[in-house]
Formats: sequence, structure tokens, C-alpha cells
Amino acid sequence: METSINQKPVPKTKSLNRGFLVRNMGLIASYAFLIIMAIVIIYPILLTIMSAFNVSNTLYSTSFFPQNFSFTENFKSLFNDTAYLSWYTNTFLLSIVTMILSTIIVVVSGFVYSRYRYTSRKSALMSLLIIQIVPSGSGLIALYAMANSIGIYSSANATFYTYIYMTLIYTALGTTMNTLLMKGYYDSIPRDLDESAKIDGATQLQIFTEILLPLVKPMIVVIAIFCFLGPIGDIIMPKFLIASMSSDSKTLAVGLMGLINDIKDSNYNVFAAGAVLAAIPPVLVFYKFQDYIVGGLTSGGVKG
Amino acid sequence: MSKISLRNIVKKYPNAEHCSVSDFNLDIEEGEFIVLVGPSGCGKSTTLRMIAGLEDITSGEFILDGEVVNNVSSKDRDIAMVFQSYALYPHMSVRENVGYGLKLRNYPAETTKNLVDDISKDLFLTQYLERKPKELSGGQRQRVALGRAMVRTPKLYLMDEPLSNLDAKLRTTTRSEISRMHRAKGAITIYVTHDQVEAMTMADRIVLMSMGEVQQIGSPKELFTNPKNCFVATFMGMPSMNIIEGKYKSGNFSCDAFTIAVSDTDKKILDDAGYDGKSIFLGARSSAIRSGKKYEEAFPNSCFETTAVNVEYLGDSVNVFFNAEANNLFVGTLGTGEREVEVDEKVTLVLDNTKLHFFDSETEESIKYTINQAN
Repeated sequence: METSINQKPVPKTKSLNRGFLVRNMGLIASYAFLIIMAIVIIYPILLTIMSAFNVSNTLYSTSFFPQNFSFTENFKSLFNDTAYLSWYTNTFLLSIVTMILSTIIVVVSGFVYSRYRYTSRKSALMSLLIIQIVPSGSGLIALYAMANSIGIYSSANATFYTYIYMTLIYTALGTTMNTLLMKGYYDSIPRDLDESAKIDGATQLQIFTEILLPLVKPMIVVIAIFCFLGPIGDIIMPKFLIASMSSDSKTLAVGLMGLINDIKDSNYNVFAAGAVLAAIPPVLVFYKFQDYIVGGLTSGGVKG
Repeated sequence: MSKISLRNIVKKYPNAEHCSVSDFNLDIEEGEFIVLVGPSGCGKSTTLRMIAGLEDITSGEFILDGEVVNNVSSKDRDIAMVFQSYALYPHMSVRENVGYGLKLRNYPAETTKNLVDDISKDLFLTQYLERKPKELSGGQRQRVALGRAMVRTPKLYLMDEPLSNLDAKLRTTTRSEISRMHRAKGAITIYVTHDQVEAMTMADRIVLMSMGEVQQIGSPKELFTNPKNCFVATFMGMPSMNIIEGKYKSGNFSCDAFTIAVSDTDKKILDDAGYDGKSIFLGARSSAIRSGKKYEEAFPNSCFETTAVNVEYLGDSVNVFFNAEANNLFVGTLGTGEREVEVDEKVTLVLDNTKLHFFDSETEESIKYTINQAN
């Protein structure tokens, strides 16, 4: 028997000792991209913080490091020359009330959408999605007209009623998308838990408050933060609705915007000081609840 | 009057073509351990969930202690249930998990604590009482789930495949744990499983279901020795019963692989039932297929020669597989002391014809069922 084996020519192996640059091309590209992104995000924040401590009146001429460094000067003029404190209170009151209202609504409606089956459930969920498609800004004129026609602006307490009006609008805006988010989170909790509690003797209300609520806490926190931040960052709606009012009744965003609106009369450093102060509460909230924002609590109850 | 009666229970989901459970009837006496068993999708879990009140009963009556409780909420039915997924509350410690049902029923804190302590001691959970479920192993979680049900003394314990997530060894120990708890508590237990071994070992009575219909209800022994139809025969027992179609004529059964003489009693039954000259199914458990001189002498008219296509060594016995016809692999379990068989070897096997089952080839019903039942 023939035993000769055709030896195939060994294919040339590619050299593995390519240069460092070539080998790590992908990594280098990724890092370059990340560094650029980091700069784009961090530089404006740093610049704002730096100019908050720089006494001067233009942002263009200022260098990155404060030339006329002063800890307090800009903040002093912020509190003395503008109605900053009242903007601050207005905004955070608005935010907190909105947050409480929308969170309560979202927590309950998410539960209902997730756990109950009724005829209009599908169409209701669908309409929540469809509402998302329409940009909220498109209804501004209608909102103004509505406020006008129910006599908010002609009333004695125009500012107060406008704020209630805005609270309702922000609450409504905060519930649509967040209800869907919340429903999704409830869905991720196995129904076995509900059923088990039911057999243990729990009422619907007890299942909701004692079993489900503790488990959706991370999502409640996330949604509360979203709802809290919504009014703080918004400028279009308050500008529209409270434009004609006194300086005292403005929100932070509108008030600060006013500081740099006028090219000739702008004070960028005071604006920066105001922005830094305004950023403190959201930063604290994020810092405090970062574990919730990241964390999941459900693992372990049901064997995966 | 039985403690629990299920009368003509039907479950039909909206938009479903077929009933998930059709015409389920069962009376359960005090202290019985009932196992619902069947392949997946046979309606056994649905039945259990209807008993638990987690599913609506489409029609029929569920009677508990003489009262129709179809529309009574689960929490008022006085039941305890162990879920397949355990369904432990992830945010509560083991102690809170076990004691939650007691707390909701307004037991005094002191009593709750004592009851939880007792049951944890029983289930070796004492040192884990303050832990959260996610810090426990699968077996420990399973015991917590068991403890949560056993801490109360309800009218009825329900278990939905509680062992299916455990490994084989733990399954055996937990099985005896559940049996022991059942004996100690003495309350009715309804247990759902797809594992016929669990059903055989634990049940007082087995309810075997298939396609939403009850196939047979009876003690493990009844189902094993006197199956009502082919499905029951093949489902119960491991390895499952060998079934082959063949012709019965004047005391002889012949098929592709062999021709054997049936026993005198079987002959009488088959002749009386008018199966002479007709085609029937023969069922033989693997333990009825033997080899060796002893059996050849005992059953000289039911020996046949075949070729072993596979051999499984099981320690104290050997499974020998052979083709009885195309696509019908028979298995015989030869004990120690019988001849050793090699793969592809020709071997003479003996069919113990006192242990055979016969089924109608059209209805697949057992021909001997009613006669055996009468004895």
C-alpha cells in the first residue's frame, strides 16, 4: 500500500510582530474618541466654574484660569443686583411639586398597566406612545391661549396661578414616557411574587405597597430625578408663560438667560456664578442616589 | 363527604381553540397526598392554579369543605403554595419571608417568631434567618419556600413542581423532606410534577393527565400494574413500557420480532373479549424481558432470538436494547446473574408472559383494565 502523503506547502504565516501602533489601532482610536468626547463635555463645565470666580465682564476676553480671582464677588452681585434667590425658590418649588405629583401618578399608573388586564389597556398604552411623537413645544401657543382664556393673567395672583398651571403641564409631560418606563420595570418583577403574596393572604393594596413598591424603588428614584430635572432645565415654556411678569417671578433658566440676553449689557461671570449655584442641587441628588440609579434589586427572589 | 371535590372543572382561555383542562373530576379525602402528573402542557399546572384561585374556573365546581369556592379569592381559601420559581420576596429576609403570611393574618409577633423559629429548625434554616434570598443557594431558597408554606396549617398545600430546579441528589432528599412534612401536618397536599418518579414515590394517589384530560386516577401501584391505556402505560415507569402492534390468534401473539404464547389467563380474557384473530398492542415492561436458562425453562413458549443494538450498564442491572420492528426500540432489563450481553451479539430473550399488558389497537385502551380492577 502506498504510504506517501502529499505534503501541502505550509502557508506563510503573517508576521505577528507588527508595530505597536498598528497592533493597537482600534484601542488608540477608541481612546482618542473618548478623550475628545470627554473634553467636549468637561471643558464648558470647567470654563463655567472658572469664570464664576473671575471678576470681569466678558466671557470672550477671559482666560481659562481666572485673572481677577475672587471667591465671592460674582455671587454677591448675583444676590444684590438680581432676584436670584426668588428665581431659585420658584424653580425648585416648581420642580419638587412636579416631581412629587408625577412620581405618584407614574408609580400607580405603571402598576395598573403592568398588572391589570382590561379592554382599553392596549389602546391606552398606544396613545401614551403616540403622545411622545408630538414635540411638547408645539403646543406652546395653545398653552398660552388657554392660560389667558381661563383668566390666569388677569387675576390678582397671576404669578402663583401661572406656577400652578406650569406644575400641571410639567406633571403631565413627566407622566407619559415615565409611565412606560415604570410599566416596563413592573413587568420585570415576576407575577409569581404577586401570586405568592396573594396566597399568603395579602390584599391588592398590600401586594402593591409591601411587595412591589420596595422592589421598584430604584426606578421610582430614577423617575423622580427625571421629573425633578425637567422644569429646571426648561427655558422655552416659562419664557413663554411668564415673559411679561416681574423679575421676581422668573424661573432660574429664564432669569439667568436674561443676564446674557443683551449683548451690550451682559454679565457672563455673574451668569456663570448663577449657573454653578443652580447646578448644586441636581448634582447632590445624583450623588446621593447613584446606587439606586445603577442598581437592580430583584435578583435572588426568583431563581434565574 | 370528601374534604375537597372538583366537579366537571373546565378551563378554556379566551381565544383558545381547545380547553386547557376539560371535565376534571376528583374527590380528595382528608390527609391525602395527590400528585398531578403529565407531560408539559397537559393542564396540570392550570388545574393547580384554579384550585389556588389564581385562574378563573370556566365551568364546574370546586368544593372545599362542602362549600363552592369558585369565586372566593385565593387569600380567603386558606391554602399555602410552593412555586416552581420559589417566588421569595427579594427585599425581605428569610425570617420575614417565612413569617409574611402569619403577619398578614395578624398573628401576634411572639407566636410568629416562635412558629418561624420552629419551622426553620426543622428545615435547617436557623443560621440563615437574617439573610436575603439572593444570599442563599438554590437548595436553601427551596427550603425557605417550603418553610413559608409549612409555617401555617392551612386546609390545603399546593406545590407546583417545587423540585424541578434542584440537582438530582438534593431532589431526593427534599422529596423525603416533603413527604415527612406531609405526614407531620396531615393536611391535603396537591403536588404537580412532570416527573413520574416523584409521582410514584410520593403520591397516595396519582392523577395522570394528558392534553387537558385525566387519563387515570389511582394509587402508584394501580397505575403501574394496571394502566388504563397506552399513554398511562408508557408514561409510568422507567424505562417506559415497550409497546408493539401484532396479531393475536388462538393463544399466540405474533409480531415482526417474535411470536410468543400468552398465558392461560390472558388467553381466556382475550378470547372472551373477542380479540381472536385481531390486531392488538402488546405492552411489556423492561422487567418482563429477561434472559437465561431459568426463564427459558419457566416460559418455554415465549423465547425469541434477537440482536442487541445497545447495552446500558446500570450497576446491578443491564438494559439491553433491540429492534422489535422498524423504529421501535425495545428495552429489557436483565438482572445480575443473567447472561452478559455485548452490542451486536445475538441473544435469546424471554418474555415473562404473566406480566404482559394488552391494548385495543384502535382505542389504545387496556383490555385487561376492568378485569384487573374487579380483582
